[in-house]
Order: sequence, then C-alpha cells, then structure tokens
Amino acid sequence: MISIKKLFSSVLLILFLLFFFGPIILMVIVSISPERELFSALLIPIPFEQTLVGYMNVLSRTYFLRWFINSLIVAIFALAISLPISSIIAYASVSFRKKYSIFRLFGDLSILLYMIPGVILALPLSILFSLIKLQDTLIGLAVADSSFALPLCFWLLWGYLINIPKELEESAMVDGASRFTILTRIYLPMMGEGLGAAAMFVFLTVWLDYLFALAILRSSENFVLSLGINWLIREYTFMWTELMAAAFMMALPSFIVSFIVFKYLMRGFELIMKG
Amino acid sequence: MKSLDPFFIFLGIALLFLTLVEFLPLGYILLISFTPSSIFNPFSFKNAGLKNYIEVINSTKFLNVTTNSFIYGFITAGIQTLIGLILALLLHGKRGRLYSLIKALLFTPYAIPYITTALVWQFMLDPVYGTINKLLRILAITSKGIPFLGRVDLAMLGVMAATIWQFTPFSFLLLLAAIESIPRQLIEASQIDGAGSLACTRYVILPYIKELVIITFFIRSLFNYGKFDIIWLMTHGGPLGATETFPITIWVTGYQEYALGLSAGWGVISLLLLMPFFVAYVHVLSRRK
Repeated sequence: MISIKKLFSSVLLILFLLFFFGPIILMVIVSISPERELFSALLIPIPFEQTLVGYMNVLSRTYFLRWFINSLIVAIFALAISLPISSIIAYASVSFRKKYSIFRLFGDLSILLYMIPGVILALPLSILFSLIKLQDTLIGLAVADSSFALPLCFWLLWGYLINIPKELEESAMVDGASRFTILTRIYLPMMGEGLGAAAMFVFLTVWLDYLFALAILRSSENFVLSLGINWLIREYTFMWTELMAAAFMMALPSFIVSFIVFKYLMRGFELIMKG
Repeated sequence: MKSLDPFFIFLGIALLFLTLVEFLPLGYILLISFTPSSIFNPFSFKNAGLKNYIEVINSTKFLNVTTNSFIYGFITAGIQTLIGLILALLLHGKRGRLYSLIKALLFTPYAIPYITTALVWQFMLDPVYGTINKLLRILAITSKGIPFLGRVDLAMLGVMAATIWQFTPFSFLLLLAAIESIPRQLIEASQIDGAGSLACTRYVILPYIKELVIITFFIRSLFNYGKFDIIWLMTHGGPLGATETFPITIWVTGYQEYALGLSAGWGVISLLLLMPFFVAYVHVLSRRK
C-alpha cells in the first residue's frame, strides 16, 4: 500500500525535476532538431531526423573554439589568484579572531561583500584596468572575476577552518613551526574538500559570467564564450538549432564540474552550518 | 632576532589585493558620485555636491526602477527559498544512488552559464517556437502565441521565472545542509515521543532552521537585487523599462550614456535603499551566535 503522503511527495518531486532539469533536456533536443521540426512541433520537437548540422556550423564557421580556450584561460588564472588569497585571509581570520576582533567581523560580513552588485564594481575596475594596461586582457578579466569570487571563497573556507580545533595549531606552534608551515603543511591538506568546493565556485563564477566579460573585454580575439555566443545571436538572428548547440556546448563543462563536485559541496555546506 | 614569518608577507599581499580589487572600486564609486564626471575624464574630481543624487531621485524612472528592483529581488528570493525549503524537506535523510542522482540533477541550473539560461528561457517563452506557448495552445488557453518578453505586463514574470530556475538550487543546497546538520538525537527523541514525520517536520525541523531560512532568504534577496546578467541578456531592461532594475540603469547610464558620476549616484542610492535589509541581516546573524 502506497501511502497518500508518499504518492504526493513523489509527484511533487517529479514535477520539480521536470522544472529544473527539463529545460536542459529541451535544449539538447532543440540542438539536434532541424528547423522545420521546431516550427511544426506540437509541444516538444521530436527529431525523427536528428541533425548535427547545428554543432558543425558552430564549430567550423565561428570562433567557438577560440572563445572556449579563452574562457578556460580566464578560469585557470582566476583559480590561481583566488584560491591562495582566500586561503591566506581565511586562515588569518580564523587564527587571529581571538586577538583582533576585526577578524571575527570578516567571517560574517564577507557574504555581504559578495552581495554588492557586480555592476558597481565593474565600471571602476575597467577604468582602473585601462590605467594599468589590464583592460581588454584575459588576466584582467580573471582579476575582475576574482573580486567577485573572493568573498564567497573566503566565506566557504572560513566556515571550514573554524571547525578545526585550535589545539592543532597551538601544538604545532609549541613545536616551533612558523605560521607559514602550519598553513601549508597542516591546514591545507585538511582543507582539501573545502578547497575543492571553493575551486568549484570560482570556476562557476568565471564560466557563467557575462557582466565582467562585457565590461573588461573589447577585441574579438579576446572574447570568452559568453560574449561569443551573444555575438552569435546577432549574427545568426535566432536560428535556434545552432544557438542551442552552442549554448549546450558552453554549459557542458560547468555542468560536468558541478556534477562531480556536488558531493563535496554538500559536505562543505554541512560543516559551515555546524559552525 | 626573530626572523619574519613569511606568512605575514603573503598575508600582506593578499590584503593588498583585496583592497585594490574590492575596496578601491567601492571608494572610487562613492567619490565619483559627487562629481559630474563622464567616462572621458574619470579622474576630474570637481565637486558637484548632491547634483547627481537629486537627478536620480527626480528622474521619471526612479520609482519604476526601485519597484522593479525590489519585486525582482525579494519576490524571486521568496519563491526560491520556499521551493528550496520544500525540496530540502522532501529529500533530507534520503540516501542511496537514486537520491544522490536526483539531488545532483536538481542542482544543475546553478551551474548553467547565464547566457545559456537566457537562451533556453527565451526559447521556451518564444511566441512561435516556445514550449510554453505551444502548451498554452494545446490547452486551448490561447490561439496565438504570447510574446512574454515583449509585453510590458508579462516580461517581468518571464525574467523572474528564469532567475528562480537558475538560483533555487543554491537555497536547496543550503537548507538541505541545514536540515541534515540537526543533531540526530532531536529527531529521534521526537520519534520516540510518537511523532509522525509530518509533525516532526513542523515541531522539530522548522523551528530549528527558522533562522537559517531567513538568512537564506536575505542572501538571495540581496543577491538577486543586484543581478545584471539575466535581465540584460533576456530583455535589456525592456520593454519600455518593464524589467529595468538598478543594475541595468547603472550600466546603461555609465557605459552607454557615459555619465559616470550619475551612474555612481544610481549605484550608491541602490545600496542605500538596501541598508535596512543589510542591518536586519546582521541582526539575525548575531542572534544566532
């Protein structure tokens, strides 16, 4: 006997799954459906004749691959900048929070920095960058993205570190270890999962972003995927098959990364909740 | 002679970077909002007093932008938090490969690039090809397609739907983690007392995570309020300003009309309007400790 409650829960769950994952499946279906099928379909196109023309057009007739590589470069730079910096500041905040109360403030208020609208930072950053020749460069974009990702990383790592008992650090210091050694030899290995979650957020910040790319990048050689696909829209004037193919190819890396890291993310959040 | 722990050098560099990249731009925006600067002379700090602020408040679109920003920011966040809570209640404590898969699938939209989100939702809302319109036609609710994003009354709904889709997974994750961090003894104790799972939910789980729900709501509200990408990519703030929020105005004023000082004015005012909510958020946080 299936209880009504269980039935109700299952139906609800299925509806939500449809809502949240359905559009992804729709995107894939559209990307392989010929245009006339999209037009004449009753509800969802059923591609009896699938076509990979969309994908081939995007890959061969546009600069998709270059944009892809640019996005990857920005992501790597951003990771190289954000992770060390947020780790150091998080460690300092947790270690010193008894001595200098300002560090206690950091932890709670860092999430506030994250909520400052990106537009407010984007304009002055691009002005600053044009002064120091970082405007219209991939590394400049990585720095700008870091400004957005740092507070979130810091918040994650801080929540992680605050659960590590003080005695660990104290005993190491009694043994004469310098703070630097403590950080690199003891804490970093323990923070493995936290760093994984933080890394994922940095990657997502870069990969999903449109605003900072729009503000910082100018020349088409430097375009990242978000700008490139946006340009495609104006070029192809809404040929959905191609656009969905491009959109899906762009979504694939971040989708895969999030799928893999999801478990670590959950555990990271659970630890923060306890703290 | 104690040698300097290299750590402090790195800490210094890190803090310097943070200052340059977060606090310097903020300080600049604050300063420049009092000047009549344009993009062409971003460093002329002529004092224009409150001229920019007065212009913002007196502008015909100020009321519209404020309303849109709060609707878009807070109502979307409310729905995101609610759905996230429902999902967390449905899925907490469930283990096994199937449920892990379900949770990961539900998380997907959060990892989709904003331009992809915009494209997918523009497709679904399209009057001719769009899935939603085709559904409406099947249900005989309408015979012609409704151009959701082209109608002043419906565009905001479309944009809100896309934003709810994109960011609810974050609330879901936070609240799921919150529920699963409830000490097992509490739940077991209530079950010994004979509580069914529905009662357990109402009297044990919900009160315990009440503050976290509020915190989640605040985080999402403040975040949505300032979100530029999705609205811009879907409607550019149109039609006729129906979906124009503060980020859109700030951008257009600064980047397209080149009025830097005015754009900064809009930015500062948008932050000032959030002040009461910032304060409430900090208050809820401190109550937790």
